Amino acid sequence: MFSTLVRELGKTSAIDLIGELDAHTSVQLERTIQEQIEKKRVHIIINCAKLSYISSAGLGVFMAFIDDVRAEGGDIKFSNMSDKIFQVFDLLGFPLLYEIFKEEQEAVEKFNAPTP
Amino acid sequence: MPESGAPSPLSALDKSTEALGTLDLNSLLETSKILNASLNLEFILSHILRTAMGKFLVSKAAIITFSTGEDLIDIYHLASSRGLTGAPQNFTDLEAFGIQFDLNLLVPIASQKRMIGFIALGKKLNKSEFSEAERDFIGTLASLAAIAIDNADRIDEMERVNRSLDLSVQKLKTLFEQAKNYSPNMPREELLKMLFNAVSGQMMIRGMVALREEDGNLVVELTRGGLSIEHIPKSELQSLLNLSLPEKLSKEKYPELVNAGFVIAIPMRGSTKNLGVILSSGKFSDQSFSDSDLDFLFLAVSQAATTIEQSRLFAEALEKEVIEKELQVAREIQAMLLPKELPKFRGVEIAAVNIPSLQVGGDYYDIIKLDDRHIFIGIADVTGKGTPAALLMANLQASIKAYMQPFQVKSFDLAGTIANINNIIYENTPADKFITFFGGILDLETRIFHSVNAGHNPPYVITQQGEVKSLTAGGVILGVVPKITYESQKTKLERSEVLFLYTDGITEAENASKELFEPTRLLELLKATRDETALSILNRVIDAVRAFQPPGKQIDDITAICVKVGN
Repeated sequence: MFSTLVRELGKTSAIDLIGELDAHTSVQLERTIQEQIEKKRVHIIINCAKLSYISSAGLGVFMAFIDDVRAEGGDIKFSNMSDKIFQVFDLLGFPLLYEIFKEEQEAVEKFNAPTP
Repeated sequence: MPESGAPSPLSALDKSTEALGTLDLNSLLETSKILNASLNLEFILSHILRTAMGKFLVSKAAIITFSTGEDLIDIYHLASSRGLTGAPQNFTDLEAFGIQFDLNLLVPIASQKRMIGFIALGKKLNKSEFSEAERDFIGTLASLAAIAIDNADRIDEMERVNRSLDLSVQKLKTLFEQAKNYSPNMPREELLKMLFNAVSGQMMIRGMVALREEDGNLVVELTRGGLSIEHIPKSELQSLLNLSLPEKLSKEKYPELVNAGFVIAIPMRGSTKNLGVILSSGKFSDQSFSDSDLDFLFLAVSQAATTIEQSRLFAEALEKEVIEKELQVAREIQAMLLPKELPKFRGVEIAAVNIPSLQVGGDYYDIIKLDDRHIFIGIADVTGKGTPAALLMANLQASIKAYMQPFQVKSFDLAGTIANINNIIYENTPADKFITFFGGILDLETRIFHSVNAGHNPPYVITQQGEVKSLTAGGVILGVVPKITYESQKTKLERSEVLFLYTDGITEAENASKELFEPTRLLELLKATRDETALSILNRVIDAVRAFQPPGKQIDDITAICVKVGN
């Protein structure tokens, strides 16, 4: 129903969300992100290419970690969203707080770019 | 743009109003087509400006709209402009703005419903004034601008309504999803995490704290987003327990909570009292919580509260079931220890009864045939209730059976036997457990009853004349002091005399006004019925006790034995 796959791309961790992210499965994603933070891997890209559904509870997971991650000098960025998924992000106002990229590579480059 | 004074197409147009009319119509037709084909307001407005500028050769033009602010002062907005380098997007003094940017013709833009703004034009390059016909033309352009702006507003409004509808649907989806995923056997922390995820995702809330009610205080159960209630005075938290609806926290009422970044409190309503409170920070967007937001939060939190309450009831029901099962085991043990049927003897009537109370008490009695002329009669009350009482009773019963089995009339020492049983009980029980016991051996030929009373309610012997003897000789209760001796006594029972043994379930039965049955009532009854059969006397006593206590209110086990010799 839902799984995650973590790929290490240099200092960046890309997490693939696969399937449906709802109230139940969000607890699982929470663990995955928590593990990355514990390993001090705070440059996180959430790749939504294989995400078929996301609920408010799923989005709540990112709210739970964004301050921790940014306090460590990292960020959570999103990529490869379908229009349907983006609509939910947009509706709830997430583009205000998170960067969303069309392609994962753009997010990787943003992480690798020297900070001005 | 052509320089000032250069030949201008306008001079040709001036010659013929007819030609002007045709050109006007063409321009308007084009604008109207654009208006119908595009929903992009900026594009339409800049087209209108271009048309006006091209037609009248002006280098500065603007479409200015205005809105009335909260303080009732009109604020002007530059909706579209050409040639106004460095102009502010918003301003309040239209006249000063016109002077600053050389805009000297203001043509109102008005729809049927309202005044929208102005088309503002600078001087014509040929310095001539705007003719009547030209003003009319600009007026028509202004009407087209009005339609475009009205349309754009309508589209904005529609999009706003759609978005708020989408948000409502999303809120409903979230509530449904929570309802589907909560379960009563879920750990409370996991359930609260789900709630936090759902609510913070829906509203983009960063920080939340869940507080649990415990003995009238609020205890932190889960925090998120670095919020803390560590320095909030207890009095301020205490008043949160009385909330019945979500509340926006005011600085007057909750100064420290507001200081700490909390914006709203949502009660977790249980069926009788609040189970706790959820405190939340503001939204990331800094927008305040709408009434519909508060409704959503209250529903979401209530769902969680209901599940938490269900889970508590579920746990209680389980616990009750375990206790009930244990009691059932105790009842079965107790029932097994009591004689199933009484041995029969010639020349003696024996009737006995045991009515256990609901909670499983510790009454015990036994009647054992020792040989052809000797019967053991014993009665006891074990402290406590339930399984421990039943086990202690089993201990007593096993000791009695073991000691009575090798009965030899010549060598049998009743007082010594009771002393031995006392030692066994003493060794096998904690200090607070004991047994009141009375036991005796009846010789059917001599009718001598040899007995020991170890702290039990003294049995009565009722003579034919209605006199009463109490069998008291013995010693202390069993199981409290080791290695002590007991006295015994011998009582000759005359023909038709009644021997009655009982436990305090009879004498301490309570009526509705909390009065006790007392030994006096029992004795009166025994005297009055002494000529009846043993079974009949016993039944009269039991009936009287039952009539005395309110129905279904039996506090303790009721046990009694009635013996009548030599009839």
